[in-house]
Amino acid sequence: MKQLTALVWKEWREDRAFLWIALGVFVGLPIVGGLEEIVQYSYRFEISASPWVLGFGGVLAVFVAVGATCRDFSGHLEDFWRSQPVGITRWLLAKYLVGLAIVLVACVLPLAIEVSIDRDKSAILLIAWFPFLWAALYGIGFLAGCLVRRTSHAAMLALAAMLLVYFLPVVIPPLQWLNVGAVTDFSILLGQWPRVLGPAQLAFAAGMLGLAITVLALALLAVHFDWRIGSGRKMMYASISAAILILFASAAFQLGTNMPILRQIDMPKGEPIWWIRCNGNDGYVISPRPDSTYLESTFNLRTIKLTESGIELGSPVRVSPQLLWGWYLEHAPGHPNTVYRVTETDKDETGTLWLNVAQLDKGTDKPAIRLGEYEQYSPNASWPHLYASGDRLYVIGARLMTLDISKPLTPHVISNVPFGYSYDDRGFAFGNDTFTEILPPVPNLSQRQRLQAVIKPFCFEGDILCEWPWRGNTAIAYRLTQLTDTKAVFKTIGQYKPTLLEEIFGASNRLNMELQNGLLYVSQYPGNTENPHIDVFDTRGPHPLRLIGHFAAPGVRTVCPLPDGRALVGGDKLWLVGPPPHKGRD
Amino acid sequence: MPNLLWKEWHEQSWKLGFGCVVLGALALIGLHSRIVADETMMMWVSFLGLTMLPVLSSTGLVPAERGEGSLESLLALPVKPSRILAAKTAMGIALCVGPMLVAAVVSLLAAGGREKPDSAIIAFYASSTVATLSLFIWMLALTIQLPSEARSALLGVGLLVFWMLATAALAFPPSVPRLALAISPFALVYGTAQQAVEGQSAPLPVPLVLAVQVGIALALWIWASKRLSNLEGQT
Repeated sequence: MKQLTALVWKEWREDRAFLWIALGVFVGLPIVGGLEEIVQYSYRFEISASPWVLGFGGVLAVFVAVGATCRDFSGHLEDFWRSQPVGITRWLLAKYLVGLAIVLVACVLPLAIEVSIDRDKSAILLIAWFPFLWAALYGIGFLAGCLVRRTSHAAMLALAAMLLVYFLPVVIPPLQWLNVGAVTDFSILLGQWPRVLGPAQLAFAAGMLGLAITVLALALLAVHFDWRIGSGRKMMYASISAAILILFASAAFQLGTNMPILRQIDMPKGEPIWWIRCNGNDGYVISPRPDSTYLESTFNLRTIKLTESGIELGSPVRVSPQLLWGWYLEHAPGHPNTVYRVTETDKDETGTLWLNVAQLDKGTDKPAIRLGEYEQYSPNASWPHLYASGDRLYVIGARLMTLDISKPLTPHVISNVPFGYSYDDRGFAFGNDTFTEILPPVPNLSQRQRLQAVIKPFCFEGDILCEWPWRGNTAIAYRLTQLTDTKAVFKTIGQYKPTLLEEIFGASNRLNMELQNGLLYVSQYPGNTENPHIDVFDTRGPHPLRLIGHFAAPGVRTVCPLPDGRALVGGDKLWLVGPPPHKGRD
Repeated sequence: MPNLLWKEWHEQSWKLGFGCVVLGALALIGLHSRIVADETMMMWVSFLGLTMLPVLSSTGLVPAERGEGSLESLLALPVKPSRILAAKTAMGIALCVGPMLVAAVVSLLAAGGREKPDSAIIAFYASSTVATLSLFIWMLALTIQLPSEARSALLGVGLLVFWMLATAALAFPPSVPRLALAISPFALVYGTAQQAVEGQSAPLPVPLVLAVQVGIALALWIWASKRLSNLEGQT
C-alpha cells in the first residue's frame, strides 16, 4: 500500500501541471468570455466551458497519457523502474489511473461549473457520457506511448487515432452507435434538462468502455513483453496520411454522388439556373441575367422541353424576380406558361394590390384585375394566396375573390366578398411534435384542396409534409392525422439532422425543397466553392427521412423532381439525373 | 553532378512517393465518388499540394542535412556549393512537380471532360504547380541557414500564411496597383483566374506573371546559393 501511495504521489507531482493548464483553459478562458459578455451586452454572467472541453478534452487526454508513459520509458529510466521491487503492472496501473483522474477532473469540473451557473443545461450530457470517450482516448494515448516511446511521435500517432475514433463512426454506418453526436443534444431550450439516459447513450458508453479496457490491456501486454514500434518520419507521415485518407474514403463512400447524369446542357455563361419548373415534358428555368447586379436583380426565363434525344432550351425572355418564389404564384390549370401572381403598386399612398397575368413564353406580365387596397386586403400584412382549380381561381385573404379563368389570359371576377382569413392565424410547424393548420372555408373546394391552398410554403404530397426549419438545421417529416372542413392536424413521424461530416461537406444552407413520389429533394447551397449539392431523403418506410441520394455538381441551386422518378437539377448547367439507386429500401 | 542527384534521389524519393500517393489517392477518391463538384475537388487537391509539398521538400533538403550533421561533410567535398544546391533544387522541383503531375493525370482520367474540359484541368494544375514551385524556392532560400527541419517547417508555414494574407491584400485594386499581384506566388492561381471568373477585374496576363515569377525565383536561388557558400566558409 505504501508503495502504491508513493507511486501515486510521484505521478501526481509529475502530471499536475496538465491539470492546472487545463483548468486555466477550460475555466479561466470561459470566465473571461463571460465577463466580456457582461461588459459588452450586460447579459447575466454565464460561462461557456463546453466548447473548450469538447474541442480540447480529447487532445488533453492524449497529451497526459503520452507524457506519462514516454517520460518513464526514455533512456535508462525504464531500466531503473524495472529494477525496482514493484510489479510493472502495478506501476503502470498507478500511472494510468492518476493520469486518467487528472483528465477527468480537468474536463468534468468546468462542465459542472457551467451546468450550475448557466441556464443551458445540455452540458450535463457531456458530464454523464464523455468521460467514457476521454477514457478511451486516454487509453489510446497510453498505448501509443508504451509502444512508440517517443513523445512527439506517440502524440501524433495517438492524435491520428483520435481522429478515427471521432469520425469513423460518423462516416461508417455500422459504427454509428459509437458516434459522439449520438449522446449530445444542443437543441433543448434554455432551462430545460435534457434526457440523460437512453439506449443510444448506454450503447455509446459500453463501446467506449470496451475500447478503453482493450487498449489498457494491450498497453500492459506491450510493456510486459517489451513490444515496441520503431517510429520515424516515414511512419509518421504514412500513419497520419493513412488516417486522413481512410476518413476521406469513408466520407466519400457515404456522401458520394449516386444519381447518374442522363442528360446535361450548358447554360449561357453567367446565367446559372436558380429555379426550375417542369411537368415531365415541358417547363421553364429561371436564371439571373448576366447584367444583373446586387442592386437590381433581373432574370431570364427560358422554356425547356424534354425529348428522347435531350433537353431543348428556349430563347430568353425577361421576367420578374417574383417568379422565383413559387408559393406566391399559381399556374393556370392545363396552361403551364400562364401564371397568376399578386403584385402591389404604390403609386398612391395606400398601395394597391393587383392580379397580374403573365405569359412566360412571351415575356408578358401585366396587371389584369384590381384586387383592392393593400390595407383592406391584408390588414395583418400577410399576402393573399392564390389557388386555381378547374376554371376557377381563388384569391384568399381578408377578402375572397373568385375568378373565372376558363379563358386563362382574360380572367373575370365572379364574386368578391369579405372573408376574414389571415395567414397570420395559421399554425406553423417549426419543429413542434404536432401542429394544426386552420383551413379557409372556401366554398366549392374540398377539404384537401383547402389544405393545398394554404400549405404552399411547405412540401406536401399525399399525407406527408416536410419542412426544414433554420433552428436546429433539422429536416422534419409530418403525417396528416386529421382533416376536417376547418383544420388539418399534422404529427411528426421522422426527422433528420445532418451529421458533422455532412455539415462539413456543405449541408448547412438549404435553398429549395421538393417532395415527389415519396422522396424529398433538398438543394444545399453553402456557396459555389463549398460543395453545393442535392440530398434526397426517403419519406416512406418505418424510418422516414432516410438519406438515400446525393448529387454534387458546380453551382447546384435548385431541383425539380419529375413524375417518372428522374429529376432536373439546376446550377451552372441543367442536368437530368436518374433516381437514387437505393430507392425504397430500408 | 549525377552523384549528387543520386544522393538526393536516394534520400528524398520516399517523399516523392508519399506526395504522389496522397495527392493521387485524394483526387481519385474524391473525383470517383463525386463527393463534391469536380472543380471543388481539384481545388482541394491543389490546395493540399500547394501547402504540403513546398514545406515537405524545402525542409528536407538543407535544414535536414544540418540537423543530422551531414552538411559539413557535403560542403567539404570538392564540389561548388552552387552545384550542391542545384542538385537539391532539382530534387525539390521533382518533389513538387511529381505529385501535382500525378494528381493532374488522375483527375484527367477520372473526370476529364465531365464538368471541366481537359484543357481547363491541365491549365488549372499547371498554374497550381507553378505556385507550388514558387513557394518552394521562397522556402528553400529563407530556410537554408536554419539548423533543423522543425524550425524550417515552422518558417515555411509562416511564409505560406504570409503569402496568403499578402495575396488577399494585393488583390484589391485600386488601393494596390493591379500588377503588384504578379509578385505573389499565388498570382497564377488567384490573379489570373479567380477574379476574372468573379468578374471583379481583368485577369493578369499569364506571360507577365510567369516572367515575374521566374525572375524572383532566379534571384532567390542566387541568394540562397550565396548563403550556402557562406555556410561553407563557416564550416
